[in-house]
Amino acid sequence: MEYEPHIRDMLTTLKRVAGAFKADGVPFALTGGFGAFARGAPPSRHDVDFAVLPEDAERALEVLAKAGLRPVDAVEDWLVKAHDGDVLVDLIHSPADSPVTPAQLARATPLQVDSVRLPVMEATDLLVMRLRALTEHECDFSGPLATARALREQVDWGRVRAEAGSPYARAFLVLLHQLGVVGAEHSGVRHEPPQYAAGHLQQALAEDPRTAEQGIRVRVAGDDVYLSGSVSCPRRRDRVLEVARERMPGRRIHDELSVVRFDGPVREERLT
Amino acid sequence: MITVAAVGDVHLDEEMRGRYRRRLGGLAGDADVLLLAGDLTKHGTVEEARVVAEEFRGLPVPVVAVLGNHDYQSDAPDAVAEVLRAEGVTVLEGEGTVVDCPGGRLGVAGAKGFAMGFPGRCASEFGEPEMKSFVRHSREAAEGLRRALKPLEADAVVALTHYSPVEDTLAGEPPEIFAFLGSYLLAEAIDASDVDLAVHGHAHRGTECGTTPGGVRVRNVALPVLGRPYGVYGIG
Ligand SMILES: [Fe+2]
Ligand SMILES: [Fe+2]
Repeated sequence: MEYEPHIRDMLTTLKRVAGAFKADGVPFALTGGFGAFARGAPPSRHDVDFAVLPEDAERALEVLAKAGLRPVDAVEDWLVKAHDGDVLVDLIHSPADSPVTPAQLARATPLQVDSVRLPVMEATDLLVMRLRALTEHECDFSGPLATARALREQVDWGRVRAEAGSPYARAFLVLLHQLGVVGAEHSGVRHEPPQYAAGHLQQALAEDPRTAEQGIRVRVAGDDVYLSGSVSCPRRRDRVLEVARERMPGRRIHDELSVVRFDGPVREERLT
Repeated sequence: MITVAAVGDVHLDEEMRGRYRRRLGGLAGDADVLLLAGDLTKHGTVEEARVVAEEFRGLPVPVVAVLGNHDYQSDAPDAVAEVLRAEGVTVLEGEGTVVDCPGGRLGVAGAKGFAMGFPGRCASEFGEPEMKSFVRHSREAAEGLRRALKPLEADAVVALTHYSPVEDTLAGEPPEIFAFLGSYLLAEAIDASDVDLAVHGHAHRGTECGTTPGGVRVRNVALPVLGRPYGVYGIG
């Protein structure tokens, strides 16, 4: 497969690091954007990330130095870094204060990346790790989003929700739900029982001054809300949908509304 | 022959300005009078009432109206009625009016009416004060219609309400809410007088045609039911 030069360089680095770890018996797994790439996501343009055990971090860095990489002083205490030319390699050992465990590395599966076969972190572990890395200063969802989309079939979403509990991770799961990547059961959005939800929405559509619509039928089935009935103009229809979306966050609103037509031909009925 | 045009539930507000009037061009040829069966506005504000007044201003036939529940939403039904009257619309509540038409004199008795239900599935003036006042309002509304019908001296008589006097014209609405859509006391008042036609609105999902137990023709003229600008009914 042909890659652009930057990606090519990163793949070369990846091979070098994997070869060095294997030769010296350092347990590791590919993670991060390239881990996701190995599992089917588009190629990452960022660093090459490996997971290692905390107690192996220093030794791993020495192994890389021996293989010709240049260790870099990291200010963070949860990873160590090395340069391979322009490519930066992160050896992550204690992301968000939860150290990489032997069990995680044991769960990693050997996969083919380009021309090399190496252990790749399990999809769930990989995503949890990425979500745990989200902080107030690093909360760009676009990378994890691409990963989540690509890996969604491989991920145990219940475990993601249980293990990545930060406000950022929870917000990310809500986003995934809104985008239709995961179902509501994984989003953590708590729903009122459908009968109540339908009742409340129906009343809200009558009482909210934006709508004042009394004739809207509301049916709730799981995550799906179906609105039917007629409204007097297209703008009103938009308002009904707006109020429904506000009142039903995390549910899919289906517009089955119709706009009242009164352009039929006038005909006289004789009452005899 | 007197021809009556009737429509309800036009629910006008600023966004709807001009949309309805565009459809009124043929009115002079179609009918002798235009009856409005309530829910003229969306929220019953004076601003919306102005839109209604302008929409129905200066028409070639007299316009007679009752208010609907939406016209009460801002607790200003009197102000809404005043704005309409200022533009020449006759607004009725428990009163009648006689319109001189080429085919004779048309009597129109108007009342908003109210909910309560139909025989066997009906609320009673019993229990909590809220329940009593609910039913009492319905009784007073029907009484208003009766009062309006009684003295009418005309060649043809129409009962104009917002709420429905019968269940026939509610077909299409969920049966569970029929009790909120009308009251049989209105039909009883209609049947107690010599009425040729009863028109109402309110039941947007209902059906156009029905009759009272006494055989008076009932027409649900809610705009969504009609699908045309107004119904036209020839009497006599
Ligand atoms: Fe209405
Ligand atoms: Fe109404």
